[in-house]
Amino acid sequence: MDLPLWLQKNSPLPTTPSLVASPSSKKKRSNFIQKTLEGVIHFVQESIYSEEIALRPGFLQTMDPRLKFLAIFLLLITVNLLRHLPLLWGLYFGILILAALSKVPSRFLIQRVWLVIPLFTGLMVLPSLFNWVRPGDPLWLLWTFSTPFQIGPLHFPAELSITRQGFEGEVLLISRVGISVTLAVLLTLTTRWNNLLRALRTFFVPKIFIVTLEMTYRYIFVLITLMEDMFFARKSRDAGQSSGAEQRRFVGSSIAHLFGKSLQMSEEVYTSMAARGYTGEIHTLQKFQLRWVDVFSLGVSLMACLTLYAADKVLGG
Amino acid sequence: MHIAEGMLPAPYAIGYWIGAATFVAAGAKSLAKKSREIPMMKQLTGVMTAGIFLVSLLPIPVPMTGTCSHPGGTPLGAILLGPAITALMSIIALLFQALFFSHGGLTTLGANTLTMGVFGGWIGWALFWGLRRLKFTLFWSGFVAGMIGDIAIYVGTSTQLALAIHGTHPFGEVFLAIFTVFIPTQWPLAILEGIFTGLVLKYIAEHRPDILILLHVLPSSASRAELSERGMTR
Repeated sequence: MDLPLWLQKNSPLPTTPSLVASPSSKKKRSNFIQKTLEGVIHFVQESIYSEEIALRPGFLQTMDPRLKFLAIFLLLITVNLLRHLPLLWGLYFGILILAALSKVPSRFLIQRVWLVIPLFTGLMVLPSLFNWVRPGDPLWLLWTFSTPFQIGPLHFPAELSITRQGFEGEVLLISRVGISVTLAVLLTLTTRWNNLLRALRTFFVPKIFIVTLEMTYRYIFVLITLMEDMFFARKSRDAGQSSGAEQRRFVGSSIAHLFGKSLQMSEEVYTSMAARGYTGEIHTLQKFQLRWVDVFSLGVSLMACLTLYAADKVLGG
Repeated sequence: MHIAEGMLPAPYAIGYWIGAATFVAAGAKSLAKKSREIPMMKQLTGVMTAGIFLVSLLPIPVPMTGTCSHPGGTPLGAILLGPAITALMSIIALLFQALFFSHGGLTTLGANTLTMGVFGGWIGWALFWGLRRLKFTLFWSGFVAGMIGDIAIYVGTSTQLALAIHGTHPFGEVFLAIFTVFIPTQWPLAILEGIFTGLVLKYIAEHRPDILILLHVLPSSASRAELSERGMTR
């Protein structure tokens, strides 16, 4: 599954004059094969690194996966109910301590969440920052038009400003999103995938759902090898810049081939499973061991959630 | 376009979770029923879900905008495996995206499943079969189903976002504002989703027509003769 280092970097730009892109087309130089390979490498590296962290002897790693899932889900709900930033960031500080106790590198956790989330979430709710979408007290006046105007059913006041309510709402939302994602990342980093799936079984999740989930997870790695091979072969033959039409044609045929292969594979897997005695039931040998320290940890988590919720109510607003 | 973790107020997130759970339960029931009829159905669903998840990793260069986009695949899933199972496939694909890439989230999983798996799936499926009854070809039926299915996902997400953030402002205006902001990126994506759906259906019909017959996308005896006439069988 490892790609040579030289393949993980951008292809050198062509030197043949006819193949060199004009300065105006600089932004078109991004190579989709490169992006795909980077996506594949990123996925595999993340999976391997997650498994590595999940095997470390940390606090959350040793906790029963069922209770850990429940505790983190309770915290997730609490984060979404809180409306005061000091409480949210206090909880985040607690999560970082938990991560440190679980031998999860804090820098990795912070970078993984906060480098992307604020930008992505901010863009999604950007319109609500302005008085044209969400009226409120003006915080920064951006522009004043001569008269109010109307486009179709939309009425726009003459002044365009960022409102206090919009700004506060955006900060609260980004904080909630970032802290929630941190919790989800912490859960996946400290739990082996198979254990997480088996933990789901105890929460009345139908067996057929878990079986499909397990199969999907395994097939992802099989199909990703196939996809990597296709793009690896293409990259090895790639000289110069392909035109947009060529790129689309290649991606189109790759997708169709991937689906064709998927269908063929499902048939083969079923036949081999049936030959080994598969009747539709999945059996596992491992059993979870519930410890008092796990129950105590869940209790602490529940108390923390209730306290934070009560504090949020007391602070009002 | 998935709603990120923590973006929805708790009552909304819980409501969408309950709504999605209903459809996912129906999907699980449908999968169990179909598995008795078609033994390889579970494997097929697993592989298709993995395929859809991976296809969403493939960036496709979008003409004019200079950006890359990726198809969602739920209209295709609904056409092949049925709209009920698509809700189940969607929640699994979205769960992987939330856990591995932080796209979407656990609290917003219900909302995203409703838009992607239920809106996109059912609308794509209904359009596909409507057009097939009007004698449209497999490609064009798939194209329209994929394109409008994608737009349905986008309308659903815009509605959920507008409901969550409109506050005291009229819902319609906030919805229109969000809808307008995303038009430049979403329309090329919808067209690509249509082409993707149509091409994949055409590819399967040409290379593995037996799969489409098995899944009742093509009627058994008549379609075999039809495919044979067109030289589509192997």
